Amino acid sequence: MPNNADERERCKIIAELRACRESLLERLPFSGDAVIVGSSGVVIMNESYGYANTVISMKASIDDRFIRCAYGLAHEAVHMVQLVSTHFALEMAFEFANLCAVTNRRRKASTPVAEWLPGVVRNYRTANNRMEHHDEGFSALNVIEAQAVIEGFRGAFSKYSEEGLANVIAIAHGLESDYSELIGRLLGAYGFSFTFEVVPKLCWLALQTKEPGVTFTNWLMELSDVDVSPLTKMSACEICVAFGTDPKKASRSIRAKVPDVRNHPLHALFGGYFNVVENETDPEAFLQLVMHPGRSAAPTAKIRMTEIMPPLTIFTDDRYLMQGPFKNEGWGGAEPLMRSATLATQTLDWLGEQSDRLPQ
Amino acid sequence: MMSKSEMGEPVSESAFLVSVEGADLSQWEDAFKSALSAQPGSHGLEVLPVHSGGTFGAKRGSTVRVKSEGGPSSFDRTVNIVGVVVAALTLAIAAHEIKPEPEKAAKPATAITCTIEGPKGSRELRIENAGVVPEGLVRACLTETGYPKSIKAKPDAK
Repeated sequence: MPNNADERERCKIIAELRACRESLLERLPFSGDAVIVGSSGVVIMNESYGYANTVISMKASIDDRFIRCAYGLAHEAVHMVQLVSTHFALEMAFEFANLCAVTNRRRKASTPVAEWLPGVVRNYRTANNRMEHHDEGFSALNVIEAQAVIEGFRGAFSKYSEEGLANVIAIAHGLESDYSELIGRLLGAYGFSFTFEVVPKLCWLALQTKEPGVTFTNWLMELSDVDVSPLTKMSACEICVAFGTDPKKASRSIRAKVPDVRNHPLHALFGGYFNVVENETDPEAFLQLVMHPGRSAAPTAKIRMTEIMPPLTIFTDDRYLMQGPFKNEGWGGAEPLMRSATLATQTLDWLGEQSDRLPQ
Repeated sequence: MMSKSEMGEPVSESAFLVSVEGADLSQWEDAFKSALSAQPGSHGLEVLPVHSGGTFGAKRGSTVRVKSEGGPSSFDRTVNIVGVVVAALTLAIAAHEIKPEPEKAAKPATAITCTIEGPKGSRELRIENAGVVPEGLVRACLTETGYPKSIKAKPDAK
């Protein structure tokens, strides 16, 4: 039997976690909106778990709410795969986590801001610039989102057409959104087959480079005057070769290629995901999984998408879902993730405000 | 700093989020800022970006923060601020012909439905004529919602 002190402590923790949830949900104004916190893999969904469960079990009627919910969950799952399988997304997650750590350490120690804030803000701007900068072409963020939009569509639904993709984007993102414009440009220039079958592969390959936006833009420019239809029939390994990458190297886990990853504090969270992806030794199976997370795995594949789903999804109705390597963990696993996601977003929001305030 | 509005509930800052459904910020932010600064009574209102906070994902709208100088000192002032913001938002949406739904894509929006959310609940406010916001409606909304946390706008088709 819990004593009163235990009960008070439990109530206090629940209240704190509810406040965390509210703070995370505040950034999602519309129902069905979802985001993933890059430095923790935590997904926040502006939808109830009760409804999401009826969507997952196909018991809800199909309407706009259904589409937003099914698509939102699938879209965020693609971002999780990007975090644990691409150099760029993982590097950015580490960078944002580092910015949070240094900021909170300095603020906790009450170090005078003049001594450290300008340098941290400079690094914050550099990180954001790496994500968002583009000249005439695509930004790294565009590349990240293009794969998530297409594979989110593939993962959430079972019939695929250009009209279907355009409708889902309009329902989930709005007709005037960046997402709509981005996919519209690809469909307009290269057609549905290329956009649906090749673009996710190119996005993933581009996300292995230092400047994914520049790489992706250059590849598309090179293809602008050629018949792209042969590319739509190529395997993942063949696409790697066609774009100058060794498929065997590309299909090794980042941790295997960069052992220092183990030394970063975020390895405590992402380590379980590397353990899973390192089980897949067949290059084509590995590449199919990470390039097309929305596609069902082949019967011979050694790993399934369910094993690399986001660790924690937070819903509006006080319920949460733990998946991937965290699927068997209870509150003990959820609580630190929830707190860390809240702290990360609040710290980065604060840095954003400081960045607006300080001269360029 | 915590203060207390005349409506009774404490508020930590006189700022609220303003979101437009289905539109990227680049489509309405500048128009909103211009329309806001042209509105009588907009003195002291500031539009600030809402940062992504290291997140990425599936969203169907974009958000800014509207901040006013000092705390929400009176109910009348809050009514005025919200009226000014909603009027500017309606004008911005109308000016940019935001198309909210696929089947109505060809028609520009000239009216908006605003959902105002506050500590006491939420209320919908429909503005039929761009830029004209009946004060009585805003007053009635805010009496029910309290000082707003957010205003979400959904463009309507003609």
